Amino acid sequence: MELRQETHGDTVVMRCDGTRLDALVALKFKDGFRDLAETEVERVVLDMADVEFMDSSGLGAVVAVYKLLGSERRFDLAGLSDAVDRVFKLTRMDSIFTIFPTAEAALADGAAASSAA
Amino acid sequence: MVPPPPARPDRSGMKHVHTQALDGVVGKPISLSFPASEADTRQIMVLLTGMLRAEGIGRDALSRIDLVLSEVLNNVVEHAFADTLDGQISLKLRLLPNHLECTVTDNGQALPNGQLPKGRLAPMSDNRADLPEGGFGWYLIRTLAENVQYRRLAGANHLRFVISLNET
Repeated sequence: MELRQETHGDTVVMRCDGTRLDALVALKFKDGFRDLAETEVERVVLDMADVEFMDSSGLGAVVAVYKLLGSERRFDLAGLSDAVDRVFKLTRMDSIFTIFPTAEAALADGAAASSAA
Repeated sequence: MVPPPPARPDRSGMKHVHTQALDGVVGKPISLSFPASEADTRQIMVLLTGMLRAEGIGRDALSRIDLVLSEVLNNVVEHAFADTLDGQISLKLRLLPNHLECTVTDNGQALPNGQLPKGRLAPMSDNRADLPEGGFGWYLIRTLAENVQYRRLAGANHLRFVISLNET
């Protein structure tokens, strides 16, 4: 599991390119956001399009990152597969996040918001 | 007199390809034994889901099996063997027409109070800092598996449960 970072204006898209976000990589996933949390970035989108499986450890890691990034920052999810989406829905954690079908859709939302400002 | 061939399992509600292997595999237990580590658990799950996919198990059932077994096995790794690196886990699976029967055995520490956790979700919070990061595992197991039973016998944990193969 690697995290690939791309900047688009005031948004950083972090793409998780492993197929399983599970107990084995949960800590590495969290650690992968520590540097980003130290920056001034205003918005982070987690692109999970490659992730086919997420268990409770993976979900916990996503929530931990959400907390790490702090309430001053927007943190949205994109590209949830059916299996991953099921875990968010069953645990009701889907109500915590704004979830987009793709990273592109997430970025388009940011652009619309800033042009309306 | 020649006995009739065994009935083929009815998977008419499921969209998949019936494979030859299924005829010999249905009902016969598959037994696996492996070290209690997160890396081994992941390998076993990748192997098992590949095998079950080849047997024609549908995507929804596969995803539930993957999730329940991963949660159960990780619980064993993290709690039953919290203080040791030498644990072993035994997994026995029995593929039936509409269910996968699972038994997970380990000789690690017993469940607290010798009982299955209730698996209730922690209350939601409006406050980001208070959101739960854990405690989801048993809830997922109890929601997606059936007949979950735990026994402690002769220094070993035995956890049994059943996962429906019916696609939802």
